Amino acid sequence: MDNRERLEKIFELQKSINKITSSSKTYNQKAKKVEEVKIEEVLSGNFIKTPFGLTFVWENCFSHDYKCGEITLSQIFKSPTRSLSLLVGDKRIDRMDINKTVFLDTETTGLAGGAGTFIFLIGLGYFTEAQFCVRQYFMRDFDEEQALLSALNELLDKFESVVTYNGKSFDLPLMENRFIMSEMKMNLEEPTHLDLLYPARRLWKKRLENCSLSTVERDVLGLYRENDVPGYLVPEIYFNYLRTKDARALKGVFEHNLQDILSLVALAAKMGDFLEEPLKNTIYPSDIYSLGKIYDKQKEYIKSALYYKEALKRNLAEEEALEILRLVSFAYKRQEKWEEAEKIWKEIIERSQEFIYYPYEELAKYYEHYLKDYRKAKLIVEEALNIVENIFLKEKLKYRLKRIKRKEKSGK
Amino acid sequence: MQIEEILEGFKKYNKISSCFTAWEHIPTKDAIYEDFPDWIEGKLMSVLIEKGIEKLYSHQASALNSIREGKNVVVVTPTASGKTLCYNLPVLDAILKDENSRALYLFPTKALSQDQLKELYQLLTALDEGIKTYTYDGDTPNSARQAIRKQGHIVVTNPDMLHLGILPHHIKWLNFFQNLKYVIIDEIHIYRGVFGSHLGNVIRRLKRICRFYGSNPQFICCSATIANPRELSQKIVGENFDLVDNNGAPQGEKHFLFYNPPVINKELGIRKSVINEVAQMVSYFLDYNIQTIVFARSRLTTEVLTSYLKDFLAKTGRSKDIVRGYRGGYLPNLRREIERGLKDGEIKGVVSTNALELGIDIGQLDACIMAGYPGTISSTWQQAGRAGRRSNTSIAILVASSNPIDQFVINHSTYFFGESPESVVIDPNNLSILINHIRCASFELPFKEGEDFGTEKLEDILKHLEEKGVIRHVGGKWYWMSEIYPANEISLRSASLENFVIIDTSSGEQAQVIGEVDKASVPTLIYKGAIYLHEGVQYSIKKLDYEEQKAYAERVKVNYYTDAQVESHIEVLEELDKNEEKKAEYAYGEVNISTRSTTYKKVKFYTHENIGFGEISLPLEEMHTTAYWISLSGKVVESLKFHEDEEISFDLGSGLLALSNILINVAPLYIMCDPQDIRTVPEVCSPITGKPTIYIYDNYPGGVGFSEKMFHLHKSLLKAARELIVTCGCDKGCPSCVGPIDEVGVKGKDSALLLLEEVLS
Repeated sequence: MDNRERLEKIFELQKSINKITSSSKTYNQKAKKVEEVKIEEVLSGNFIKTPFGLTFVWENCFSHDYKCGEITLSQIFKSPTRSLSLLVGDKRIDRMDINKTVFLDTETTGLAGGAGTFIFLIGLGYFTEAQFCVRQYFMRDFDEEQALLSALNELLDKFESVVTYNGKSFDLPLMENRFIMSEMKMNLEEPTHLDLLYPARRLWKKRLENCSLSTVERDVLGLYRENDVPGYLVPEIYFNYLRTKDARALKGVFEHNLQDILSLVALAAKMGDFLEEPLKNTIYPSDIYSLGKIYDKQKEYIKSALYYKEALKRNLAEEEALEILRLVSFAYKRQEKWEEAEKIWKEIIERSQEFIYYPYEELAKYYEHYLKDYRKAKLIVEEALNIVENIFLKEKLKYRLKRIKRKEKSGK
Repeated sequence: MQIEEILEGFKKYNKISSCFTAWEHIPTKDAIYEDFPDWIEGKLMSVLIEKGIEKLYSHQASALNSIREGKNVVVVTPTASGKTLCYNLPVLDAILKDENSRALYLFPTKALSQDQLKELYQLLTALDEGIKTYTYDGDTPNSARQAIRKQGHIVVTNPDMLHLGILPHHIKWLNFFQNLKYVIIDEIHIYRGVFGSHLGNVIRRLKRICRFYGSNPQFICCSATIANPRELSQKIVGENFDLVDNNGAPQGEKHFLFYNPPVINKELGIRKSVINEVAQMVSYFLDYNIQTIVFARSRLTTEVLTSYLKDFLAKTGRSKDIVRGYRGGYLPNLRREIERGLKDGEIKGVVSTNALELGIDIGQLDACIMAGYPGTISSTWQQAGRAGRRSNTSIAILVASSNPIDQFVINHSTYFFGESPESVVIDPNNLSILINHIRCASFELPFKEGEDFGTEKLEDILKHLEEKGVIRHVGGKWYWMSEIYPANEISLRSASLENFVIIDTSSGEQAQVIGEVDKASVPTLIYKGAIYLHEGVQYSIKKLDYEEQKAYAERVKVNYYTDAQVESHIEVLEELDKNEEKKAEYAYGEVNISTRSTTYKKVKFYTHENIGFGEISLPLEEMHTTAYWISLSGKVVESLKFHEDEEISFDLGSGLLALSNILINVAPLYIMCDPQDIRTVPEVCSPITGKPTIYIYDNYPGGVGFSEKMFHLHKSLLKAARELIVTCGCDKGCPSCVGPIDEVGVKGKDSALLLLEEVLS
């Protein structure tokens, strides 16, 4: 028996074992015989000549007032990118010039990463004076990869910064991979990179079920896609096209990618808007709360306290309100706005159904160490001692009480 | 001097001396030195001289010469002969000469790579030239990985990590692969059978990636004594090798003794327990303060022996801590502590599984006692090599268990001392292994037409994969065309690397992890009710959380240990092909092997009597694989039945067992595997075929094609078996043919031969 026959047997064997253990996928090997339909018959694109051969490009341009959900594209110019840099914690974003920025998204043959994952479609969006243009480069087969990369490089050369969604860990490293595998160099060295996934998480994690681009689009931009190709089907659609050379199903993938890029602009604009005038631009208290936390992290306590207080004015679950009160009290404490902090600690004690230890302790510390008002300090500790059940806390409080009493005596 | 005294004692007392069946004397050997070659960097040389290495041993010098000439080298010398210097020297020299040079070290286990690193660090610290060495394996934190890829001069890893984590991401290793000068494969003899066939293909993939980045590394391999180190290296690497085996390290005088415990029941042929005998022997050695290593065959015996020896020490008023156990499953810190203790002499005795057979550095000891035959000639020499001082006399004793193979070896010492050690057989061109690695290689880099992968089967396989739509042929290349990350689907080892942890809950709130056990050992070591021995301390397993892979244990003091009974079942799922003949049916197909521990017995210490039973409820362990089976027709059995009354007596059960044993001995040569890679199940009346049947299955989930190969070999396998029985010099059976008499019975060899004659006539 020759190798091929034996391989066939091994394959069948592997297949039936896989069936039994039903662990790994078997290949959908039989492609139906269909007529070849070329990509240029499906989409009105062009071919670009490169030193490595042709590559297919589909270009679409939109006016600046094109609406993407509730957002018009031009809104991105209204708010300076400075506010975005706050969200990302990257100073370079301050100086990001939208006119030299490319909005980028790739479609790939898998999500696993590694040397065997290819980019077969890459969309680049950028502003011209009158329009927003999206160019989508496509490789009709694996042997056009170099042509695609080379055409891509020519365009990339014009930009200084890039906006993506999860591009830091996925799209850009993968692009670098592909350039290295083709023994080429990518014309986008250490660009300023605004990856919208991270700020999206910071702002909206609290109220969204997840932070996938499609969820954010729906719940933040108010954009509903129709007949969208789900991302997980994309590799199989491409493989199927390679086998059959019927490009019709690819139209959906191009449109999906195109929409992703438009959404990147809208999302960046939305974030900018929100950051410029947060109170005007959202109806969700959790967004304002998240913003407070972002300022907290930047150690901008005046602003964080401001937004916490704003969030508190809105309708919140009691539990969430208590948590925000805690945060705002510490924001005040860090600014040494003791009186405000004191008010809030008292409010927490007032509002909470359950015994919460820390406001008592904070008040006691404030009275004892800062005001040196030992009587007040004594009272608050005694109040806590009356309620507290946990023996460790009890001991801690007793110890504090003893010390306060001692100080009180010697003070007199 | 004490060793001589002990030896004298052994000779003097008749009762003892009669138990020794062999007494080999290996004379002193002086060192053979050579000067450092002049091309070695001066700085490196002075560091070595500071460390007291003023000259090289002859084998080190030979290795360096061959390496200097650009050749691949395999070094075969005994333990502690300075093997590692054969590769550390050229590697460090290359890095000193060109800071960009890189080297990859492959060790079969994580423990070994840790050990290597320790030794290298000492050299590096002394050199103080900023040469960076890192281990890169499953335990390496993500945060450290990028720095290792970019800056590591020497990266220490194992084949599994290379296969799964490095090669598929080679782009991240761009700089490393571009500058890769040396690849070191230590302990290459470990890569036998399927494991070795996998490694051969991982190396093919590695070389392909190196070619892509324009490097062409040299290979340096080290091996224990096996019959074919050069051939093995050449098969794994696919290139020519120089063999270096002119060992120049000095060796003190050595005695190698065989000891057979005395018979205590003549009628039943029962001998004294190997554990008790070894315990007494070691106690005797400890009295003389002789540092001794004991090798036990299993984790359980390791622990039982350790506790016996600790008891002995307690009785004689000495510290229990001078004897320690050592096995896989001890946590790394504990293992390091024991290794240190052995090296500085604080630990006088260590009882170990074969975990210490490999090159972990524990220095050289005075005596080695093997509690049971380690299974191969090669391992036996390797273990015996742990004892052997350079200047003093050392001693190695093999103590036989009542196991048939042990009894054969102990009574036929020429079989051991006369024969060459085993060959290691691998087959990187095994189709089902090869095809999996070609999938991985396609993922890593598209194959070009006419590309070389060390096998002429490449093009057929590529075309096959193309037909199946896994890769796509376009523009003269084959591109990976699947979402699957293929390396994830292939494991290089049969055993899973998953571990269960054992948690001691005795001390109330402070639960602490005391050890680990691999998944395969769960049914025999940590079922609920088991007495788990850890460094001689008893723990009772209170709860086994199979999902979470945790066992909860409490310290106990009982006078017994537990031993699990394991049952195996074979079930045919689908017959893929069949040859029906008058006398027998030959078939192969998919089978399900299920294993389960059902009960355990409580075995009393010292007397080894059964003092109770318990039930084990554990999930069934299942393995889907392929098997080849031969079932005999009713006629064969019918016609042989007559023999039962005649002079040559026939017994079907013994005959089938003997036949399956000899098939395990013969088949590996034909299907190119290690005997460990296949298993047999003989059944006098198989519930599936309804006939006397021998199943031989691939001991790998999914199978690796051995069954199918055997099916197509057809009768040549049986003919070879007959040939071996006829020509084997033994009388009624030995491990080289049908197995020892004690196992197959006095009728085994004859019955197997009768069966073969009948089937082949």
